Amino acid sequence: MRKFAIFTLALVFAGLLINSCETTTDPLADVPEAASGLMATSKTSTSVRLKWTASASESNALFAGYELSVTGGATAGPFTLTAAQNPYEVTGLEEGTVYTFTLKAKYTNGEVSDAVSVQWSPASRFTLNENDAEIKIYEAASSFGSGLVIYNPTTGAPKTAKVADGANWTLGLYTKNNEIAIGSPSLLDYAFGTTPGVVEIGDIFSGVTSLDDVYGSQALSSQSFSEKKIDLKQYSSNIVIVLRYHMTGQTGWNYAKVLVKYVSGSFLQGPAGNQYAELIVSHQLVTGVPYSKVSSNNSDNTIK
Amino acid sequence: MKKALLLMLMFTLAIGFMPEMANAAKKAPKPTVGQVVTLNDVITGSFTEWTKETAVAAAEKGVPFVLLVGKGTRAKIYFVFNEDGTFAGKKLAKYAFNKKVGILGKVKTKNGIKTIIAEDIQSME
Repeated sequence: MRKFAIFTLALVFAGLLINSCETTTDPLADVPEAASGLMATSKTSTSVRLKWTASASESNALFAGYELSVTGGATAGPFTLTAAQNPYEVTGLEEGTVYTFTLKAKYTNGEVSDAVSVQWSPASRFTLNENDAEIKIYEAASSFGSGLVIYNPTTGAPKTAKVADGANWTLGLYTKNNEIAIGSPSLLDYAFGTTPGVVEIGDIFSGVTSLDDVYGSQALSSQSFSEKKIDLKQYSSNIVIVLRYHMTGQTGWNYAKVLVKYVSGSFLQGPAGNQYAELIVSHQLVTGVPYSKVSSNNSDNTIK
Repeated sequence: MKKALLLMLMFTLAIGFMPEMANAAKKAPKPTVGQVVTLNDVITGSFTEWTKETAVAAAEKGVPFVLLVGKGTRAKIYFVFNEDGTFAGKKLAKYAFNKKVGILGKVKTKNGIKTIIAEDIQSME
């Protein structure tokens, strides 16, 4: 009888012990599915815009939005975003710093999905040149410049340049011999006094309305770059050119994206003899920062 | 009859080639090229080295910026106006740091004063 009592007591004690060791996680609790295809684009020198494919759990009654955290420079977040806040612009960043943006879906029961992340750096956006006018490069017949200096360190902005300043061209417009082309200066048939530097072109995107349309999740350096002359006659919409060049005194690459506007059925605007192509520039000031680094846990690495 | 046919052929060919000939003859309009300066500097003969910021600040205070074409006693001063008829001094001030500036537009002289209705302004460096 005594043995039985001790045994019963031991059993109760063991039961209590087991119960007290139980974790609070409910294995049957609902967990949201992760978002996918997280991509980024540089909006300004201090902001990056993110977009993603919605979590399949957005329609679940427990869905409580997304949790976004930012690490890299000064850590920020986590921010709670609603489903409607896609795309989302992260502000207060620093140009040249590669940030990691991590997104998780969350439920009201406290459960969160697996994370999806992308690494990206903000870049300066220029819609105006160093004189606060539209950025233009002119046809060969014009007295104005046919070349673009994408970043003039003296003024901190792009400028239009004539052939005499060809050594500093980053892009040139070529309208001789019935051609309408834009591209690496060394491939354009101009009588440069000093040979232009090497400017390599990567991907070209057409059918875009603005630079904001060109999202990515992979480093621009992963693209295939070479010197190119782009025949504009084969396009009938705005195009975005990804390029890289060496800033004066630098050995590493500086990366940029340039939007060439297609207006009223043509890349060339303005009066005959002084027609021009209008450009918008996204420029990474810090050498060696290709906007991004390759992210490991983001399945959709396509651009746009 | 043969002569008439030949004449008609020549006439047709001439008509056909006229637009081409006109295009070839049409040259790109040349900009008026000079340096952006203030009237004050022209009068004193001492030219300020402007940055964009200092020039814009001066223009905001009412300092008139003009285009100086040529040098010395033969230099000409152009007052530049926007296409809407307003004085373009503030816009011109943003080019005051450039050594050479080109302005495309209608050039007029009235009562000895030269004006340009600016259609396009570019630095020419």
